[in-house]
Amino acid sequence: MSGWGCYGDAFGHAVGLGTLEKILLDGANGVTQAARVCGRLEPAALAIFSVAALAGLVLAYVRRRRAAGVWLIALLGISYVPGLVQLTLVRGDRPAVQRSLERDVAAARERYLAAIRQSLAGVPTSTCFSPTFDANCIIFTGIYLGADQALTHRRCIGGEPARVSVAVTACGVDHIAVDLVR
Amino acid sequence: MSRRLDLALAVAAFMLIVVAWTAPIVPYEYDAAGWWLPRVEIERARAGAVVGLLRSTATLPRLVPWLGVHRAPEGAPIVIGALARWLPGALPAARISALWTSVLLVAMLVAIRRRARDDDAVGFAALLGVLLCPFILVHLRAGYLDLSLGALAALFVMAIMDGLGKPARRWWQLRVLLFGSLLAQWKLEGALHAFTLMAAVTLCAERTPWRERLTVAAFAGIVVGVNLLVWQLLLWVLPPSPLPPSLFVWTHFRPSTLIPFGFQVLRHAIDFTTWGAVWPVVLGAALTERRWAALVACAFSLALFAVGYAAGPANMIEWAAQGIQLNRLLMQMLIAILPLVVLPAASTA
Repeated sequence: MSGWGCYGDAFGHAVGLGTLEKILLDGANGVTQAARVCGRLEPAALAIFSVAALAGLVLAYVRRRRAAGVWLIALLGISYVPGLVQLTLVRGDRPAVQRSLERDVAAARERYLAAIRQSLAGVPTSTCFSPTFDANCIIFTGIYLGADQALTHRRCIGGEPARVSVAVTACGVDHIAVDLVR
Repeated sequence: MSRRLDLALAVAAFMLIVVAWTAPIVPYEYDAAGWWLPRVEIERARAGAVVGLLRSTATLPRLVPWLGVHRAPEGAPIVIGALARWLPGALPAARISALWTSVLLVAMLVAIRRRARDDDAVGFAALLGVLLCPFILVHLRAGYLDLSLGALAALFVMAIMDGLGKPARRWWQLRVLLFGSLLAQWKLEGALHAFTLMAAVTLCAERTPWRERLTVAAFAGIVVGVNLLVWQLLLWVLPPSPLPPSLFVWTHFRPSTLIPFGFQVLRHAIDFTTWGAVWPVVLGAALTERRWAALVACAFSLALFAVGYAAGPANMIEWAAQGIQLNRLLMQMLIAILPLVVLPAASTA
C-alpha cells in the first residue's frame, strides 16, 4: 500500500492514446486528470483555495446579505471557468465530439461482442467464461464489461471456477483479437 | 427577491434537465474504476469479484446497493432497468439514468425552496453555485450513482428536519422511510451517510427537546438499520456464494492510513479545476450562517469514512489516493449538506 503517491500518468504515457482512450482516462473522477496525477499539494491550488475561503468568509459575513449572495455567485462563477473550459472545449467527451464518440464506442462494443461470440461458438451457454486483457485492452474493459451482458454466455463471478477463458488482445476502435483458451 | 429567486431556481432546474437530456446515449465508461492504470484496474477487479461487485442478475441481490444502477441497463433491474423497459426506445438507459438523477436534484431544489426564507441570499447563492459546479456536471452527464445518492441524502435530511420542526410537517415519517430506505439500498456508502446525517441534524437541533430529537433519530436509525438487516438476511437465504464473511477487517485496523486519508481529502478538495471554489464558499457560508449541522455532518462523514478506510481492504487508500473514491465521496457530502447550509436550523424551520 502506498497512500501518499499518485500513479496516474504512468499508464497514460506508456500507451499511445487515441481519442477514445483519452476519454476513458478523463473519466468521472475529476474534471481533469490533475486530481490523480500528483502526489503533493499544488501550491497554486492551495493559494486559490485559501483566497476563496477568505473571500467566502468576508462576503458571507457582510451586513448587506443580498449583495453578499451576488458576490458569492460571482466568485463561484469565476472559479468555475477553468473547469467549464475543460468540459466544453478540452475534454475528450466535449459536446462537439459527442456523436462521433458514441459511434466509436458502439463500434468498439459491437466488434468485441462479435469477436467473443465467435470465440465461444462451440462452448455450451451454461459455461461461464473469464476474459483476460492484455495491457492495450485494459483501458477498454469498462466498455466491454457493460457489453458482456448482451452475450448468451456470462462472465464467471467471484470465486467461480472458469473452465473457459478468452484472451482479448490488440484492442482498438476498429480492431480486436479474441482467442479461446480452454 | 422572491420572484427573481424563483426564476433563478427555475433556470437552474431547467439547465439540469437539459444537461441530463443531452448526456451521451452510449455509455462509454461503464464502471468507475481508474482505467488509466492497469494495477488499479486489476486491484479493483479482484476486490470487485470478491464482494460481488461485478454486477449481473445473479450477483445483484448480494450487494447492499441493490436498487442502484451503474450505467448498464441490464445490470439495473429495479429502477433504471425497469424505466428503460417501460419507456419508449428514444430514451436509452444511459439517458434515463442521467434524467433520473436530474429529477432527484430538481426535487431537492423544490423542497429546499419551499422551506427556505426568501431573504437568505447567501444560502441560495451556495445552492445555485453548487449545482453549477463542473464536477457535478460531469457526474450528471455520466449518470453515475454518486450524484443521485447525494440528492437522496439531501431529501432524507429534509425529512428528518421536518420531523424536528415545530410543528412537525405532515408525513415526515413516510418520507424518512422512503428516502432512508432508498439511501441505504442505493450504494454501499448510503447507509453511512444516513447515519452521519441523522446524527448531525438531531445533535444540532438545539431548540428541539432531547426527547423529540431522540425519537426522530431512533426512527431514522431503525429505518436504515432494518434495510441493512434485510440485506444481511438476503445473504443468508441465498445459495452459498464466494462472498467473504466481511469486507472490512477490524482485526487489521490500520490507524496509519488516517494521515494519508486526510491528506488526500485536502488534495482533492482544493483541485480547483474540478471544484472551483465551491468547498471554501460552502464551508464559509455554513460557518458564517452558523449552520453547525452542515459542518458536523462533514466532520462525522469524513471521520466515519476514515475509519472505514483504516479497516477496509488495503487497496482502498490507494484508490483514494488516485481520486477513484474521494472525489465522489466529497461530491456526495456536498449535495447532502446543501439543505443544512441553505435552511435554518430544524427547530426554527
